[in-house]
This record gives sequence, structure tokens and C-alpha cells, in this order.
Amino acid sequence: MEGYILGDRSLPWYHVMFSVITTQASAITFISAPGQAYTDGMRFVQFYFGMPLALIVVSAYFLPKFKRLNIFTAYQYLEQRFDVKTRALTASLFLLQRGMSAGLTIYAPALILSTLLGWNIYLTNLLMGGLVIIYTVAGGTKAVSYTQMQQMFVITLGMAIAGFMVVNLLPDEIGFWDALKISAQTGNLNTITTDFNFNDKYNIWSGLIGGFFLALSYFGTDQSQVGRYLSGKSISVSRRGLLLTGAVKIPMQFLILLIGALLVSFYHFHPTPLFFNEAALEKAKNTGKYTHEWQQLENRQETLDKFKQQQARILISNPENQNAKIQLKALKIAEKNVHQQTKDLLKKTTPTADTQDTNYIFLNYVIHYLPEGLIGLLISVIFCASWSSTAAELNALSSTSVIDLYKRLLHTQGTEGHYVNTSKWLTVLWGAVAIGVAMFANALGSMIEAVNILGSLFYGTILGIFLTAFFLKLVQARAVFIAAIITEVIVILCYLSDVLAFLWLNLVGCLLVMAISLAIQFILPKKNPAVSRI
Amino acid sequence: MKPLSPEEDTPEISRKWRKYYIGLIIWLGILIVLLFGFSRLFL
Repeated sequence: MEGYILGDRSLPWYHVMFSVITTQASAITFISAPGQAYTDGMRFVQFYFGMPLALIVVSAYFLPKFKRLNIFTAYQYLEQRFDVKTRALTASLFLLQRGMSAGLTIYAPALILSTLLGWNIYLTNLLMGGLVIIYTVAGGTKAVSYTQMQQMFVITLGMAIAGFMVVNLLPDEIGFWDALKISAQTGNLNTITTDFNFNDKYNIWSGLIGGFFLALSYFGTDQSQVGRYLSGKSISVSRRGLLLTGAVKIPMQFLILLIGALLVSFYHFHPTPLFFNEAALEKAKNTGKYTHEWQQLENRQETLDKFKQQQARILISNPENQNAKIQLKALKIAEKNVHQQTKDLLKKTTPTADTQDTNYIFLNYVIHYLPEGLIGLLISVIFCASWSSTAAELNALSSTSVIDLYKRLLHTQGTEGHYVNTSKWLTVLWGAVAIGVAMFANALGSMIEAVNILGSLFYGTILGIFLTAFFLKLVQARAVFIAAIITEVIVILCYLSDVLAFLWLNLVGCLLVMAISLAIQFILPKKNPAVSRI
Repeated sequence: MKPLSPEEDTPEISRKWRKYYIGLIIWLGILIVLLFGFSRLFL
């Protein structure tokens, strides 16, 4: 069990670091993030600001407690601190959340294959998920960690080349700095936004506070990450891996987003597609409906492209030209209008069409502008990124199911071999669940957001349980259990009523669990006044 | 199972790691300042 689930707790710090990074950065990161920067600017980078702070807390408080108790999963700690009920509830919340997001990590590369090769998306989901299941079942945690190192190499190489090519494919007289100047005028270099608004998804405050709680919950309580750093040789080794992850994550995400921001300049010198999901666009056009309207939109985009190029050249030849700056901003607004009208017409023509094309922006560039060999390399990047995350997720889902539910509640007297075999079968089962979820993922908007929203619905509650366990020593099992259930209902209601941007749900969920459990603890009759020392 | 090495928990070790924690916070501060500059640089 020790070997299969935690790689004999023998991995060096660089394995821990690469494993933590690649588990977090799935294919979704590489497909969606450049698209996000293209449509909304680079402000998404602020989402990661809370992460280094969270990793400090994980290194200082979570990691020593987990390592000292020699546990397999984070939820085992909760039984020692509270009771088996709280452990099972938290493990189940994790399984529910992670089981669904594993589906999205399979769906992302499947989407590429189906778009590129015209394959059926459902069949592609099945193929993509199936391949990950095979090597995760066969090798357990060690296989996951070793393949993640190699996958990281392919990902870094591929993304670096993709970024280089964006600038290289610009006209000769337009360089890297010129491209940045153009993207700045359209507002895409907005890496820091300081306006405070609870409904604004990405600003420095939501990134530092909301992002901190999301990251703390993810790295401190999500078994797909806890399992990664528990496989380190010692506390120091795992700490080093975690802190270095905190140091490199923001620059890494910045560079990925920069590709999207540079694509904005790129499309000032190349024709901008009316809609980046060309398959959906073609399908709509082929219906033969609204031919005149489609033609009009294409003509308008063509005209905009001409003006964009003209104004961009004026700006580059004279960077102080205020009129060119104003024109570039106005052209961006006009282009957004054309894009919105395209989406409306698409919906009118084919009501079932997905009108979100953010996830196709980067791929559209790769397919149309990169030479064939590089297209292949970029496809491998997407595969590697997806597999590295999915493998860790399946590994965590299976180990949590076996350790926290099966071995603890259903079959307590099995042999080591029996539990390893059960882990393998449960990896297959969770793989099947993830593929099932992937089949329904098409209706979601930006995938990277969908995953984070899903996480935010459950992470706050889970984190609240752990922080109560660590810091509110007088709170006991019954109080925290009731508080967790009440909080989860409130968080879901908050999300459904659209009161807060999703990142804040992590903070709300966490604080509510702590406050409600404290209140209940004072109300409940005191059975055992002993305070936990764990 | 390998027992945890006793040096992991000494005050010296805690102090050593505290330096790295502060270092990471300073690094985050530097990154935020750089990104702020980047967002205003070409306007």
C-alpha cells in the first residue's frame, strides 16, 4: 500500500515540485489561459497571488502534522482529531468535487482531438481517459510522479516554441516590444487591477484573499496534491518542493498568459477569425440560413482587420501618437460587437451550438500558423498536461476511496494485496466516472473557470474543517460536522443566487464552518471537556 | 516505515524555514511590483 499510494515516501524535492506543478497545471491551463488573456487580458494571473502564501501555511502547519502521523490521506487526520463521521464526510466532499473535475481534465484534450481530426467527441473522451487509466493502474504513485517529470519537459519545450512563434510570425518590422505596445493599447496587459468589487472575478484583492483560501484548500486538503507531497522523503524535502512551486508558479502562469496577450497583436497583422471554433461556424453556415447576415459579418471583420493593421503600424512608427491609441481601443470594442453578433447569429442558426470560443483561440493559432511538426509537438503538450493531472487525480480518488471509506468502513480486515488490488479497480472505476462527466462537459463555458468554480463550491467547507481542527482546539466532532453541512448548503445557495464571484466562496465557506462550529460548540451540552492535542 | 528524523522539529529548523517563508513573501511582493509596472509600462 505504502509503495502504491505514496511511492514508499521516497521521492526527492524536485520530483515533489514537478509533481505538484504538473498536477495543478492541466491541459486546461494551456488551452484556456492564452484564450483567457486574449479575451479578458492577463489579469487572470492575479488568481495565483494567494498561492505562495498558502504554500507557506501548508509547509508550516499542514505538512508537519500529516507527516508526523504517517498518514496516507489528509482525511485520516480528521478522524484522529474529530471522529470517523467527519473524516468520511470530508473524504466524500473531496470525491464528489474531484471526481467531477477529473472529467473536465479528460474533456480538454479530447476536445482538441475532435476539433482537429473531426472525431466524435464522445469516442475521443473514451480514448483519452482510457489511456490514462492504464498507466495509473499499472504503476501507482511512482509511475505518476516519474511520468510527470518527463511530461513537464515536453510541456515547457512546446509552450516556449509556441510563444516564440507568435512573435516570429509577425511582420519583420514588428518586434516583441512592438507587439507588447499594441496589446497594451487594447487593455490585454492588465496584469494588475486594483478596483475592489465582490462581483469582479480577477483583481488583486480577490487573487490575494480568495486565491489564498482556494490555494490553501487545494494544497492543504485536496488529496491529489497532499498525496504528491506526502511522497517526499522527509518534511524538509516536501517543504522545499512546495516552496519552490510557490516561487515559480506566478512567473510560469504569466508566460502562458503572455502568449494569449501576444496573440492579440498577432491578429492585428493576420486575419481574425469571425469565431475561433471554426467547426461550429462552418456547421452554422452550411445550414444555408442567414447567408446575407453571415456575409455582412465577414465583411465587417475584414474591414476591422484592415483598420487594425493600419493603426497598429501607425502606433509602432510613432509610439506617442494618441490618435492611434484611441483608434486601437475603439477597434477592439467594435470587434467585440462583431463577435457578439456572430455568437447571436450562431445561436439563431444552430440553437444547440456552443457560443463560447475562448478555448479554441490558442488551438486555432496552432493549427493554422505553426508548421506541421510543431502542431504535433503542441498536441503532445496538451496530452502530457492532461495526463499528468488526470493520473494524479485518479490516484488520489482511488486512495481516498480505499483508505477513508473502503478499508475504514466496509472491509477492515483485508490483506495489503487485497487493498492494492481494490485501489487498482477503484482507479478504473473513477476513470469511468471521469469519462462520464467529460461527456457532459461541452455545455460549460471557459473550462479553466468551470474547474475553479467547481472547486470553490466545496473547498471552503473542506478547508474550514481542517482549520477548525488545527486552530480551534475546543471544537469537537459533532459541532464541526453540523457546521460543515450547514455551510455547504449556504455556499451552494450563494453560488446559485449569484451574490458573490466564485473565488470568494472559498473564504465564505471556510469562515462559516469555523464560526458555526464554534457557535454550536457553545450551545451543545458538554460531553467531554478535553481539548484536542493533535 | 522510516521514522521521522528528530531534527525536523527543533527550534533551529523552524527558524531556518522561517527565513525561506519570509523570502517567498518578499519574492511575491517583488513579482506584484514588477507586474504592476508591466501593466502600466506601455500605456
